[in-house]
This record gives sequence, structure tokens and C-alpha cells, in this order.
Amino acid sequence: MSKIKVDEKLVKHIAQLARIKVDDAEISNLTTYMEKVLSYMELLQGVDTTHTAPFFSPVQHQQKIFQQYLQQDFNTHPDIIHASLSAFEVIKNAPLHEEGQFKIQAVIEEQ
Amino acid sequence: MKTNDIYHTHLLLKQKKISSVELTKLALQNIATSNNNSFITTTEHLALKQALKADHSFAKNETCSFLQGIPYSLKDLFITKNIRTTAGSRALLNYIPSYQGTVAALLEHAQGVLLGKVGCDEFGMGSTNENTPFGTVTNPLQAEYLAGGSSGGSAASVAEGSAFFSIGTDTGGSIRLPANFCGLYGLKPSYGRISRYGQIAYGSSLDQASPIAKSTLDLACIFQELSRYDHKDSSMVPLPAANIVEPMVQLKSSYLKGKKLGVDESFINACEPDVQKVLHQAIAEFSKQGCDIKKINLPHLKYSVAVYYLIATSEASTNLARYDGIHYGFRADPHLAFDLEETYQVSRALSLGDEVKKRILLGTFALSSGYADEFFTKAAKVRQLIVDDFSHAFQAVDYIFSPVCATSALKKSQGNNEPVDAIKMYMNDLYTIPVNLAGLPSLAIPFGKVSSGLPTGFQIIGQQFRDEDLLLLGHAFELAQK
Repeated sequence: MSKIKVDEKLVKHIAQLARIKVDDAEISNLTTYMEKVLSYMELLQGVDTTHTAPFFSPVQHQQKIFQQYLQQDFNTHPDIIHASLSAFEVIKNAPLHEEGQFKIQAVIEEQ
Repeated sequence: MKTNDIYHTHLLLKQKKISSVELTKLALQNIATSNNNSFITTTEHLALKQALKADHSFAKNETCSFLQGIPYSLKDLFITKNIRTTAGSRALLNYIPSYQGTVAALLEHAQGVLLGKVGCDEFGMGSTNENTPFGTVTNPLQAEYLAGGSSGGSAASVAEGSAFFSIGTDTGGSIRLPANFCGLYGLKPSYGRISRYGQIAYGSSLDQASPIAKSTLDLACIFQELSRYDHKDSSMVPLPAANIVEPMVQLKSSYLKGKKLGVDESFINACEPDVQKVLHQAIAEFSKQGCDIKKINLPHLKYSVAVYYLIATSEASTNLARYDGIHYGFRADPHLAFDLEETYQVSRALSLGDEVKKRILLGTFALSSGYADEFFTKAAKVRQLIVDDFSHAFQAVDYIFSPVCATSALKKSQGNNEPVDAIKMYMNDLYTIPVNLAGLPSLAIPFGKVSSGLPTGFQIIGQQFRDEDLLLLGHAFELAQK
């Protein structure tokens, strides 16, 4: 793990990726936080993982074992229609809606 | 007979010596007069309606579960149909779900009585229950101390005598830490034993719904209802629901004889002196009851905090991307956000708390192009080494004894706006995090007190999917203390 240059430019870039607007007052705090935490993460650099595969979920292998053991396929189910939420139920929490549709700000700039 | 645990209260309800409506009214009065700020939303009418229904069932000698008629609370990370669900955040301040999550549905089916939704650190991110616009949750045992987090509301609502039990969540210790600080029992089940459908996600490979209560028998009553397979959660393992209450009622403390309990001394030595003393007393107690105490070594667990704060934050950055102000939740006023891009950016900036923003940024960085291999994937590889440490230890022992936290309950922040040392704060979770990384079950057991008079305790870590064995061991220890 190389030593990352954690500066305001990097933090602004990450904030843009995360779609969170950060103002000048916050940028300094966030940069200090990222610097401190990423510097701590360098601890992992010294761990030998040359022959280690990444572990993503505690059940990534168990489900296969259970499926073999129980000889059932638990990740599929019959293609039967069940009751689902109505459009009204879904839309009622929308900050803005009109005629059963989510209403949003402009996507395309007006010419 | 005055009692305040689930199992014995169930017997009284069944015998019609008390009613669920009486219990519920007492609980609601207690909520109204408590000062711990446990509840975000109280559901008085629903609670009384459910209590009445439970009493009618008892009158007809119909009992569907040990939880029938028992008042409880739910951490506000659980989706409850038509009942406000905030995740402790401004982002969901007025969100009223249109559907029922599985945990809520199972408890409703068991005829429990929902008192309300309790406070938590925002989206489950924190260990103090201070990271929330709904206010700090204080420790019912001593008001200048914290209840812990992120399930602070769950712990406080039980410790203050309002709820008989609560369902919180545990992603990095969030039920075990508050249980430890408030003198309660908390179970973080094996990952995959309780459905996460309808549980607002923080770290999807780490999250697990977790009960908190006053005894191991109570935890058994709850786990028996919640460990039901749900096809709507594809990360669940299709094990049968736990059938644990009756075996537990028959159990004797002699169950402890011959059980092999692993201890990594370095964990104990890193704790505060008061806590160390209690941990040594607990180990001596296990030994006295016939357990075989064996030294184990878990060498990679020192990397747990680094691994967790890369993996959990990466998963969180994805899970919280949905809070964009479009379909539900907080949306910034149009005069502050002129187009769609601004709507996303400003809505999130205004509604997400500081700690949540920090974790999203950290996770976004760890997954970003050019850094993902070095950070996220590297952390996932070290996670495998932590999992291997546990597998290796469990070849020699049946259970692992560990502290929950190096300190006892923390004092409330002085509110002086001094910058918090993030790493120091994250290190509170050093002993709880490894369990979530490996997906193992763990039981927080209250034991002893520190010099301030506050409770402390320890955790017992069990083998994957052997939650029932873990609960039985915990119960045997509890019996031996009586």
C-alpha cells in the first residue's frame, strides 16, 4: 500500500463520487479525518496475503454446502406471482410526485 | 410473584395472573417518566391493541409463542409498516414504510406488543448513541454515562424497565457494547440466522439483527421466534428455527463441565485494570464450574479495526447511495438545488450526519478506481486471515472468552466541540469487530462491576451456526451464578 497524498483535492474528488456537497468549512475537518484514518490503514501493508483469497461473506461457501447437503436449490423459487406493493403505496413517500410519477429537478439543461 | 423477565412473565400471563394490557400500561407509563431519551417513536395505541389481542388469545388458552403479550421495542433500523422508521437520521425523518420487514412481521406473528421504535446512532454507525439528531441516549444506571451504541435505545429501553426486550442490530458490536454498558444479555447471532429483509442496511456482510434482554432464557425465547428461514433474504442459511427454550429450561450448570474455553491473554491485558479484574474473576468462575481453560492465539485480530473500517464503510457507501432525495426521504428545497445533480449533492449534505458522511467518504475512497485493490481487496484478504485464526482456534476449543470492551461505560461528551480522535473512538470496537468479520455468534454476558458502580462483563464467541450451543453455555453460567 503506497503512501497516499491525502489533500483537499482528493477529498473533493471523493465527495463528488459520493454525491455529497462539502463546503469549505467541512473540507478541512474531512481532510484531517481521511489523513488520520488512511495513515492507520497502512498497518495492513505489512500483512502477507500473497496466497490468500479475499473473504467477502460469511455464507459464501456455506450456502453451497447446505444446498448440496439438503439437495435443494434455495436460491431460486417457483415463478409464481405474489401480491406486491401498489404504485400508490410506493409513491406516497416521494418528496414530490405527480400523476403517479416521481417528480424531479431538470436533467437536461434548457438551450 | 413480581417478575420482569419474559419466561416467567409468560407463565403468569398464561395462568391469567396478570394481563398484557396491565403490563403494557405500566411500560407506557415508564416510558413517559424516563429521562434516558430511549424512544424516537412510541406506538401507544398499537401497543394497547396488540396487548388486548394477546389477552383474548390467552383467555381462549391459545398461546403461539413465549413472546405473546410481552412489551418490546425495536431499534429504528427495522422497517415497520405504517410506523415511522428513521434509522436515527434526518434523511428519513418522516419516512413511513409501506411494507413490513421480516423481524417486525415475526414479532407481530408471535403476538408481541410493540411499544415503539428506539434510538440509535445514525444508520448504525457509532458506539455511543451520540451520533444522531434525536439526541444522546443515556445510561439508565447512571445518567452522566452513555448507554453505548449503536443500539443504545434498545439497551436503555430494557435497562430502564420499559421494554422486556428489544431487537437491535450488531455490525461491529452494536448490541454487545450497549448490553455490556447497561448490565444486560445481548446475542449477536451467526450471520445468516436471522433475516435481514426490512433491516436498513449498513454493512451487508456484517449486519445481523440482535436481541437484548435480561436473561439467557429470554434471549432463547426471542431467538426461537426470529431464527426462521426467510427466502426474501438470500444471505440466510436454510437451517431449522432454533428449538432452544425447553432444552434450556431443563439445563443444569453441570453443562459447563469439560467444555473447552479459549482465552487470548493479550486481549485481557489490554483492558482497563477494573475490567481486567472482573475478566479474571469470570475466567476463574468458568474454571471452578469445570471448564477447561486453554490458551489460544488470535494473531491477526489486531488488524480487525483497520479491516472493518475499510469493509464496513465500503459496503455502507453502496448501501447509503439510495438516500438521494428522489424516491423517499429528505429532499433539498429547489431554491438550494437547481438541477438533479445538485438535488443529490445538497439533499445528502443537509440530511446525513457528520459521522455518516465520513464513513461514506472513506468507503467511496476504498472502492474507487486505482485504490480498490490496495484498500478494499487487501482488507478482504486480511479478513480471511482473521477468519482462519478463529477456525484454527476452534480446532482446540469449543468457545472463546473475550472482553467486550477495554473500558466500562463511557461518559457523555462534554459538548465542548473538541475534535474527537477517530481511531481512538473506533478502537472501542476492537474486541467485538472480529466476530462480525467472521460471521460467528457471540453472547455478551453481564458480570461484575467496575469502581464507578457500573456493570461490565464479557462475551463468549461460539462456532458458526452453533448459536444454540452458545446460548446453552451462557445459560449454564448464569445458573451457576445464582
